[in-house]
Order: sequence, then structure tokens, then C-alpha cells
Amino acid sequence: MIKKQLTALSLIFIFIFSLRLSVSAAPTDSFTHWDLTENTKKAVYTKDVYKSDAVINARSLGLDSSIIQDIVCDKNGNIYILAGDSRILVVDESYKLIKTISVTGFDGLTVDFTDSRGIYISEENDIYIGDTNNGRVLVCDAEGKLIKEIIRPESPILPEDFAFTPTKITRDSKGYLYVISDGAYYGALLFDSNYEFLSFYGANAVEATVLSTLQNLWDMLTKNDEKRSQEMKKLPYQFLDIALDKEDFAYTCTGITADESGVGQIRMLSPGGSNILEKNFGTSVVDSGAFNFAEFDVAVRHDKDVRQNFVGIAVDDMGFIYALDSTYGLIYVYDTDCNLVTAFGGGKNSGDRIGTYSAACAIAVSEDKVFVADSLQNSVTAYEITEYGSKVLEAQSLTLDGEYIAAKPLWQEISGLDQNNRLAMSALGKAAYSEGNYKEAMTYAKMAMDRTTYDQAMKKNQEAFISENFVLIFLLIITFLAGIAVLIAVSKKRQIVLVKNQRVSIMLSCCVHPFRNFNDKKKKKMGSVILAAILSVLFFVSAVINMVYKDFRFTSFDAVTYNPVYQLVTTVGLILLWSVANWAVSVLQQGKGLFKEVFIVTSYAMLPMIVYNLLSTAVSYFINSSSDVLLSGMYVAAIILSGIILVVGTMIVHEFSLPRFLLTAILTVLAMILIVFVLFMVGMLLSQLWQFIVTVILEITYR
Amino acid sequence: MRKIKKYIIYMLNLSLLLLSLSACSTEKVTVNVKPEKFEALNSGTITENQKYILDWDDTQKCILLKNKETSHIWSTLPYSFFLQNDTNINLSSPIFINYYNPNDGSLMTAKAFADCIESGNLSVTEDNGTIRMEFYFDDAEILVPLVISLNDNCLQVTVRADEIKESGKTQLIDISVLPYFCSTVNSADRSSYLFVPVGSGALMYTDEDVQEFSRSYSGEVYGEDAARYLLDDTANEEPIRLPIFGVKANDNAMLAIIENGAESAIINADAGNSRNGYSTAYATFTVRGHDETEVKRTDYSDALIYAAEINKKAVYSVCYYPLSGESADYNGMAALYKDYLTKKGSLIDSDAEQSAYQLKFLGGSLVNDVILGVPNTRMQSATTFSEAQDIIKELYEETDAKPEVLLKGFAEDGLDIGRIAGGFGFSSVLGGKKGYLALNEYSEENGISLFAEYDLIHFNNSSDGFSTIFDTALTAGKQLAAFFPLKKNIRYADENYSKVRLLQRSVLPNAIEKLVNKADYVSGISLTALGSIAYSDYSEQTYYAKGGTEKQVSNLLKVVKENGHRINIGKANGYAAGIADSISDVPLTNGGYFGLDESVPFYQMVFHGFSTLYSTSLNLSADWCGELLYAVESGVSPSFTVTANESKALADTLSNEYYGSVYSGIKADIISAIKSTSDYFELVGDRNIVSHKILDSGAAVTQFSGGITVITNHSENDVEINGTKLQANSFSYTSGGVTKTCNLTGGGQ
Repeated sequence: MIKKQLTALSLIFIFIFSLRLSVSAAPTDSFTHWDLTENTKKAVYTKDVYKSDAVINARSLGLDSSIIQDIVCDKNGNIYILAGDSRILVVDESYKLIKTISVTGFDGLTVDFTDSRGIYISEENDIYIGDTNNGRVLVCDAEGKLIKEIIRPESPILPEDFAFTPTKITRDSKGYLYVISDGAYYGALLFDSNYEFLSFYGANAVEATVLSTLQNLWDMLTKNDEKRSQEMKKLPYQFLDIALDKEDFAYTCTGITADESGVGQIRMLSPGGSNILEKNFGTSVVDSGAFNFAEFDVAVRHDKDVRQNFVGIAVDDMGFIYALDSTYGLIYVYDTDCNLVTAFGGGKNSGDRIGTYSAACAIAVSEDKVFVADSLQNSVTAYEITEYGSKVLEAQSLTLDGEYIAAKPLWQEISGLDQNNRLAMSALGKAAYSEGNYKEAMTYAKMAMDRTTYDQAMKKNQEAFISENFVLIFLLIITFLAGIAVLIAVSKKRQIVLVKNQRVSIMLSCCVHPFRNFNDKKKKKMGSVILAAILSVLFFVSAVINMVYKDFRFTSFDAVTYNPVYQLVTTVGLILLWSVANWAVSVLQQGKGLFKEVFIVTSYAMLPMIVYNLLSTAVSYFINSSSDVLLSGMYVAAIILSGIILVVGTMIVHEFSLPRFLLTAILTVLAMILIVFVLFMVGMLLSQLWQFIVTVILEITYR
Repeated sequence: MRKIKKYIIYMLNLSLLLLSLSACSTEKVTVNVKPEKFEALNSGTITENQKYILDWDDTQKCILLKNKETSHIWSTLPYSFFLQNDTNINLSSPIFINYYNPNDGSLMTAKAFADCIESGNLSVTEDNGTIRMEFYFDDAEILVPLVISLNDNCLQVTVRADEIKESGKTQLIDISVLPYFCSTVNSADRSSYLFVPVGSGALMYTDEDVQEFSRSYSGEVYGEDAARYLLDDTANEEPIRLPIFGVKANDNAMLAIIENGAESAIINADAGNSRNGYSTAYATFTVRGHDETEVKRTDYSDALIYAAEINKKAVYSVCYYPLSGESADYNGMAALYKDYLTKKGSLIDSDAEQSAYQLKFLGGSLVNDVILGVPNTRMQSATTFSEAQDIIKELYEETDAKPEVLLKGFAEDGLDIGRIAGGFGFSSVLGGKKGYLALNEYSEENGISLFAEYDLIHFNNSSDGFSTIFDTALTAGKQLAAFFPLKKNIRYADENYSKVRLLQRSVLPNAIEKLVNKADYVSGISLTALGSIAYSDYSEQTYYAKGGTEKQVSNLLKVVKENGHRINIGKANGYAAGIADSISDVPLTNGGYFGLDESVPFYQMVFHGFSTLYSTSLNLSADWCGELLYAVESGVSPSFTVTANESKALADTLSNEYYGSVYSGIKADIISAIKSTSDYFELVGDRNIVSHKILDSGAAVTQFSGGITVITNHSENDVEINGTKLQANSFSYTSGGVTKTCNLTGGGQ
């Protein structure tokens, strides 16, 4: 009977598989990320690493349709498709149906595993089925003969109300079985090779913040057990999928992880169950639990963010991680350093072309192919690696192994084929560094925004420069210091005034002698509104220079998202706002200062900030990323100095005591908030008025 | 006192006026459009000509078209079903309509059999060999007349918008005409299929689905309305570029040509439907366009905003051409359509010679910069005119083959959307007018075709007399047709960029006039946006539901030609392709939509030999070798997108063409591809495609005029054809009895 069916099916195969699969015109563009900082990354188009090759569905297999729940590949490249109607379809590398497996129980009857959600194939070709609805894992041989039925373990570790509903399964080379149970936030259930339950493995942690800790403390102090039990508990997010690499390291993916910014969707677990995946940003290394593997961009529908949901994970033999986002239908390929190699797919749950998805639900990899299942289209899309893609994966694999020189020719070729590939630039930088070409290494590293390699190469470059020119540098420093000493001595002796303009001189010396100079300014009316205005503008310009021209390692400047209004408001706007608010408050507090004087004091107080902005920009080119503490120190010093000048100046112009100043300062801040609120309201009204005028004009025009 | 009285009278008058104006408000006035009497037409022959007999069957309300020579009968009710004397709500309905009920916001479908025929709301009359059917949909209170006439070679079905009557209770959205006239019984072998012209052309086999559902495809002719607000953009579109569809039913076939209102049409194909046993293709005409929007009442939901009025001047008609014998397949359909276009004057034979390859140079883009805190944009050069010349020269010397050259993004706004036609000039950063003239001179000296691209549709800056406020087209919801570009990762509105606007349709002639005046020194003009994008403009009734696009654009292109310019169009829609001298980005496959089975080079079969054809850029495709083989199969010369320089800043622009285009990185692959194929393309470049056949092995055989045959093997295995072994990814061509074979493996990335 089965033979007859297969013969009939084979006729259909001849028909179906002689179709020319012509899906070369990609429905979406592949992209990758340029990581700018921990919280910003830019998507750029990239050459395709994978191309859609075929679609496997009921028609192509000549079978009745059924919901596809999960897919997995065996060591021979065969694809096992877990159908929702208690069938496993086995498809070979050329997407032809080899067989359909039903499970036969110990009693010889067919076992029902309808709507099972997970499947795994062992090295020995044993099949593991996560029979979700029946709360068991079925273990059977390659022909579907039941070997073992794993039911809910009896263990004190398991909570009484624990429901065993297996969804995903995997097994390591030592025979340990990892089972994800739906709704279990304790981690995966770990069974030994005799299928004895051992423990939970690698649970996600609840993110603790200062606020949540304080809240817990407060609850403990103020609420009784009954009240606490009535409250919603923040639980860890459960794994949605688990996969093992060839060294038995487990990789998990977690779906929607937080309300606002999703992080830590992918984890690589140590044998102890802790996350060992890290992302190096050059200036810092963060645990992947704090890294967003998805997009910072988010679509908004019905006033809500459409957030990404990682539902599937797979790892290939080279250690590349394949993660599937069901929301947008995107497939991400990461390396073990959390660098995105490529992202492709799409469809946003309305895909109508091959390579786009309606409900992407599972992912599997086999050598140079990736398979993605769609539970709504009931199909599996097969992707094949492109020539370019295989070069990229090979080169990156060599690079991760530290074989920079060996990878160099590949990367050179890749960089010629795709200029947006930053991994190539970074790797070429590393190769140049290994070869001792530090200048070249710096150039590549800068193109790749690779702070670590740039730092190392710059250090080597500086060392070489210093050792080559030590005598000259030494002489220059001596000459410089001697020159300054001579200048000071001569200017004192001859009473040379470097800055002859008294107003400018007072402005400059405010930083050193704020009390004396502001008194002068007040009494002798030596403050200058023009100078203050120039300083305000300089403050803005220096802030821009600091933002735009600082060395790439210390700035996150992006010309596309740069907002000059924000920059203006946070510099000149702030000066004016403080001046207006402080003057208004001080008038009520019998302050003696005029608005002009407050403005002058505030602007003069920005002088240290201006110096900091310019100096730190220059210094950034010569220091190491790890020396950013120097820049932070400079910044703190500038802030403190500006604060002192502002406090002293304000006290003097208003003739306030310190307590009175502090009171007015608080009131000033409140007034500033009020002014901002009023301005915001006025702005909104004006914007609406403008829209109204435009609408009226358009209506008149088109009627 | 008198004055006060006067004021009171004024106030009263004003109040009355306001009251009267407010009267023209929400309350809908309905009129009775139901005919007083429904007439019947006796069964029998209505008319006949040399080839066909047109019969009417009043029992089943069915039109039958009999081929005198073959005796094959095509009927509005599939003929085999007609013989069963049975009824079916779908099969027995000569039209379907969708209508919108503004009172409850519902969109309803009405089928003629259930809503008109069964209830006797169908009037059929005959006038001088023409059948007039008037369908009155009772629930919708809409009357739709259908006029069917027999022409020399075809059966024509016409709906005139001014004859459609609505009571006002509901609004007609679209009409599907003769949904089962172009159909066939489901069949497991390849002797029957549906043809839809998506991408290069697609076949859908009619094997009955083992699933309960059919395989369906539906697409707007000339692509989705660019002036429509969409809530989601899921993927790039590979649109239908020709207003035709067809069916092959064993030894017979039928080609349907949408003669009028093609812009407003949707082509539907439903293959292997196991519920009724038939596969069919048909046209739906959109009479009311729409925008998508989100509405919030108690909760959010998605909704459509329909245009308030319909274009009363519109005429929608489809001509059904039966085919039989050897021409009863897609080859016959292509030949018929080519003949149709030629007779209509819509397919002009260009004297341009197809080059062995095309080079698309990207000039540059506007990149963001900040000077002293003030953001500004500057042109970032990707290729200057002189660099382009150097590359052309080098490739020419290396390969001994001349390219066609297309300059993209050389205008003042580069590849970015800015002013209309990028300000009509060339960027000084790239060499300006002087640079262009030098390149043009070099091209003319060497017989190289040179085109410069201008975008006359998209803009976001007012200039040259085009205003962003007053010259922007309107959408169905009467919004300005202005849309944010999409983010590269999640395809969602990127508000970091300015909205891209669509130029009002009525202003397009001004833009063309300015172009021919200001770019009079430009010999070859590329008008890709104009020739490939169809859009509505609800500021004028003629342009509702993309109306009038065919006529307007073809007239505008003719103006450009009359002014002595040669025309190139990328991804050209049918109405533009027939006029263009050169077509670039010719679709090589069917776009891979679900439900489509096979790619056929129908587009190429129509236009090859009339215009010069160039493929999508091989270096930007995922499968260089595969694409090149498809290009070889249909005689489309390969194209390469090239830049001279690379820049990090360019990666950050909206263009998706920069990443794999730097000449130094792809030079070797380009040379290899040209050397492998230039002899072949020089041979077939200007010849017509006579026939095309897909073999069971997956290989394809294409015959060109002049007795040239090419066999392409797309499979991963070697195949043997006529005793000749052909390796995987290779092709062989025979001309004058000499066969040459070429393997493309390794010829690119």
C-alpha cells in the first residue's frame, strides 16, 4: 500500500521538480549592521550571503497539507519536517520526499502526536519528538518505532504545578537531552543519557534595576504575604528555542524580552548554564544579555510598537548563529563575537514572494543551506549560500580563530565585492596589524569603526614614532617649556599685557579669579554683552566641533540623525533659559542683577566648557580608548569650574548669600521647566495653526 | 435704528446661507437605479464572422464563442460545465463586483449569479450583433452594464463608467468581468496552464491541488498605485508590465488583452481550484481607488478610505483572442500581442543596436554634513564623467565589445530625490555639462549609446516652477501623495529623511517641456520613473485609479522622441517599452510569487528586436551566473552597475546600488562575463525571438530569427539535448550550422 502511494507520489515529483526554480530576483535587500555604540547601530545594504533556492510544501511533495511545526536537519543533510498531523516528512538534499514517518508504539499501534512542536534527530538517526499536548517526549528509531517515552519527571526540583509541555529538544554528544517546556521560565530541562531528569539548565535572569530592587524592598516592608501574592510577579523570559554547536555549547533564543528595548535575545551557555556570549564595542565589552541582537528601529501599528520576536535558533559547523525573528520574518546570522554577518528574509507576516514569510516559526541549518519553516504558508524555504557568502563565512571563521594573515586574501576579495562589509575592513586591519603595518591597520580599523584594533595599532605607531624621534621630541618639549618660562619671566619683568582689551582680559581671568573679576565687572561695568553673545555662540560651535570632529572612537556622531536644534537648545538655549529664569526669580527675591548681567555671568561661566570641548577634541586623536578616563576627568573639571563661576558670578551680580543663591537656583530650575512647558504649548499651537492654514490653502486650491 | 435693522437682515441672510450650505452634508440622498423592466434575449446565434460564431444561451445566461475552423467553444460559463446544465455561484456569474457600504464600513462581494441572475435582475438585449447585459445588484443597488461584441479576431467586453448607476446607498469599488471565460479544466499534465505577465512572464500549471485550496496570484497591472498610502510595505514588487493574460487548454489557447482601462485593472489567476475543477485568469477593474489607514473607535483597526467619486470618463474593455493549433501556447500569445501592438502603433522598431553589455554608472548622492553646527548636504561623487570615460575605454580595450552606457545620479541631486529631474542639469562635482559633453563626444566617436537618467515623478524640493505644496498629486483620501522612504531593515517609514512626493499628473507635460528645453544637448534620455511607475492623482478625475497613464505617458515619450532624443527606460511598462529605444532592468524571472510555477521570457519575446534589452545588474544580484544564463536564454544583454570610487558616506544613503559596484573590485568578473557572452549577444542582439521552449530537463531552447538557436542549462546537472551534452550552468548556440558552447561557472560572484 505504502509502495503504491510512493509510486503515485513519485509521478508528482517528476512533474514538480522538473520546474525551473527561478527566484533569483530577491524580494527584499539583505542588510547588515554597523555598530556605532552600545545603543546605536545603522543598517546598511549588503551583498547577498544567502539566496532563496526553493520552496518545499505539500504540493511539491505531493502530500496533503498540514501545519508545519518544526524542522531539523540530520547529519546527511536530510530535512525532517514535523507536521501537525502526527507525521514526519523526510526530504533529501534535492528536496525530494524520501519517506513519511509515523510513530509506532510499543503495542504496535500508531502513536498520536498531533500538534507536537519540536523535533530533533540524533547522530544515530533516532528521532525525538516534543509531544506538547500530551506532555511527553517521544524517542523513536529512524523508522518510527518507539524506543522511549519521556514523561514529566518526578523530582523535588520541579514545582508541584509544573506542567511538562515539551516544545523544543536537542541532545549533546554525551547523550544529555535538553528539553524546553512551554511556560517554564526555569530554563531547559536537562536529562542524562538514560533519560533521567537532572536539573534545570541556564534560565534567563530577571533584570534587576535600582527601582525594582527598591520596589521589592518597599513591598517587603509594607505588604503582607496575601497582598504580595496578589501582585504580578516579574518572571524570567522563557527560551523559545535551543541549539547546540559541535562542541556541545548550548545556544538559546528568547522572544520578546522587555517592554521597551529588547536585549539578550541570544545566549551561549557554559556547561554551568551561564551566558558566555559577549559583544565587544571597543571601549567596552558587554554581556550578550545586555546586547540587542535585533533592530533598534521599530514599526508602530495601532499605536503600539511592533516588536521583534526571536522564535528559532540554529548553529552551523563553523559556529555561526542563525536566529529567526517571526515578527518581520528576518533571519540574522551572527558570529560568536556577536557581529552580524548578514540579515535577510522579510515579509512582515504578509509575505507573498519566495523568501518572505507569513508566520516564520522554525529554522534549521545544514552545511551551506538554511531552511526556514512558515506555519501559515505551510512551507519550508530553502536558502543556499552564495559564492560571496561562502567566502565571507570562511574568512570570518579564520579571523575568529586568529588566522588573520590566512584570511587576508579572502577579505581583500570580499571588500572589493562589497564595500559595505565592515567585517572585511576590521579583519584587514587585524591582518595589517599582524604584519606590522600599523598605519594601514589604523586606516582599515577606522573604516570598520574597530576601536580595539585602532587603539593597538595607534599605540604601536606612537611607540615607533617616539623611539624614532625621541631626541627631537625631547628637544621640542624642553624648548617649549623653556619658552613658556621665558615668556612668563619677561612678561612679568616688563609688565607685558598679553590681552590689552580689559573686557576680554576680565572675561578670561574669570576662570582664575571669579570673585575679583565679577566684582570688577559689576562695579566697573566691565562686562560685555557682545563678548557674552560671542561666548554663547562659541559654546555652541565648540560643542558641535566636539560632537562632529572628535576621533571616531569617542563620538557617536551620525550626520543623518544629527539634530542641530537640539545642539543649539542644549547650549545657547540653556544659557538664555537660565538667564531669563534666574533674572525673573531673582527680581522676586530682591536680587540686584540686571538681565544683561545674568546673561554675561552665565555665558562667561561657559568658558571652561568651551576650552574642554576644543581640547578634548584635539586630545581624542592621541589617546587610547582606555584612556577615556582622561577625557571624563577633563569634563568633570570643566563642569565644576563652570559651576563655580556661575555660582560666584550669580551671587555677586545679585548680591546674594550662598543660601539665598541656592534657593533662587532651585526656583530658577522650576521656572526653567515652566518656561519650557509654555514654549512647548505655544509651539504646538503654532504648528497646528500652520497645518490649518496649509489645509485651508489646499482645500481652496483643489476645489 | 435703520442701520441695526440692516445688520439684522445681513445676519439673517448669512445664517440662512450657512444653514443651506450645511445641508449638503452627511445625509445621503439615494436615487432609484433599478430598471423598471428586465428584458430577456432568446437563445441563438447573435452574430458571426469569418472565424467565429457568437451565440447566446438564455437558459444558463451564457455567451458562447465558437471557432468555425476547430469547432472549439469558449464560453462565459466553462463549456464542459455548461454541458452539464448545472449552476455554480462562481462559474455561472459573468461578473463579480465589490462594493463598499459607507453606513457600516463593510466591503461586500456580490456575484452576478446569486444577486442578479437567480433573482431575475438581469436584462439582456441585442443590438446589431452586440449583446448588452445589465446586471442590477439588488443589495448594493448598483447597475452595471456589460457590452459584448464580436470583432474580427476577438470577443470584446466593455464596461463604460458613465453607464454604471449607483443609488447612493453603496459605492462600487471594482468589477471583475467574465471570470471564467479565459479558463480551463484542471489538468495534471503541462498541456494546460494559465499565463500571467508578472515579471518576465509566468505560467501557472493547472494540476488540481492536493490541498483544499487553489493557488492564486493577483496583481495590479503596471504595479501598485504609487500614490496610495499603505500601512505596511512588505517587499519589493515585481509587477505586471503588460495588460494581458491568457490560458492554454490543451490544443487551444486564449489571450486576453485589456484594451482600455488597463491601468486600473488587476489580473487574477486561480490555478488548480479543487472546489470547482477549473483554473482561470481574469481582469478586475478598480473604479474607486483607496488609501489604507488605521482608525480608532473603541480600539484600533485597519480600514480603507475609498475615493468619493469614480472617473465617469473611463472605459474598461478586454478583448479575448482565441488561439488554436501550433500557436496555442505562450509563443503564439507573444506573436499575437506583438502583432497587436505593431498594428496599434505602440511597438516602434528602434534603429538602435543592442550592445553586448550595459554599464550603469552611478554618479553620486547627496550626503549629510555639518558645518559649524549647521547641517547641509553635499554631493559625494561615486563616478565623475571623466572616470566613467576611463572605465568605458578600459573595458572596450579589454573586451573589444562596445557597451551601452546609462548615467544614473549625475544630476545635481545625484541618486537622491530632490528637485524634479534633479534640477535638469548635471552636478558640477561630477564634471557638469562640460564633463557630459566630453563623454558624449567620446561615445559618439566610438558608436556607444549614452543615456542620462532623469526622474520626472519624484521630488521633495520646490524648484523650476514645481511646488511641493501645489504640484503634489493627491491620494484617494485627498491627502498629498508624499511618503517617507523606507528603513533598510524593517521597511518602515524613515522619518530621518524628507517625504518623497509624486508630481501632479497634469503637470507632467510641463516637466517634459522643461526637460526637452533644458537638456537639449543630451542625446539619450532615460526616463525610468516615468515609464515604469503608474500612479493616481485625485486632483483630476481623468487620473483617478491610475487612469489615463498609458495614453499620457506614451504621448509624453513621443514628445521627447520628436525632439530628437533617444529614450531609455528601466523596468519599462508595456506602453513605454514599445516606444523606448532601450530598455534596461528587463525582468528575467517571474519574481517568485507564491503560486507561480514557471518563468517564461514573454516580455522579451514581445520587445526583443524592437528595442535594445539589458538585464538587471548582475553584480548586484545574489546569483550572477544564474542571472546571466537567464539573460542568455532571452537574448537580453547583461548589465553592470559601476562606480569609480568607494565612500563610507555613500553606504549611508538610501540607494541600494552602491554596495557591490566599485569597479576595481568587480572588473575581472565583468571582463570574464563579457568575454564569455559578447559574441553571442552581438549575434542575437537585434533579432526577434521566434519561439521559446522549456524542456523537461529544466533546460530551455530559444529560437531567434535568422535560424539562431540557444540552449541554456539552468540545472545543476549536465543534460543531453539532441545528442549534445551540455554542462550545468552553460549554454550553447547554433548559427549557420556552427555550434558554440560556453560554461558560465566561475564567471562572477
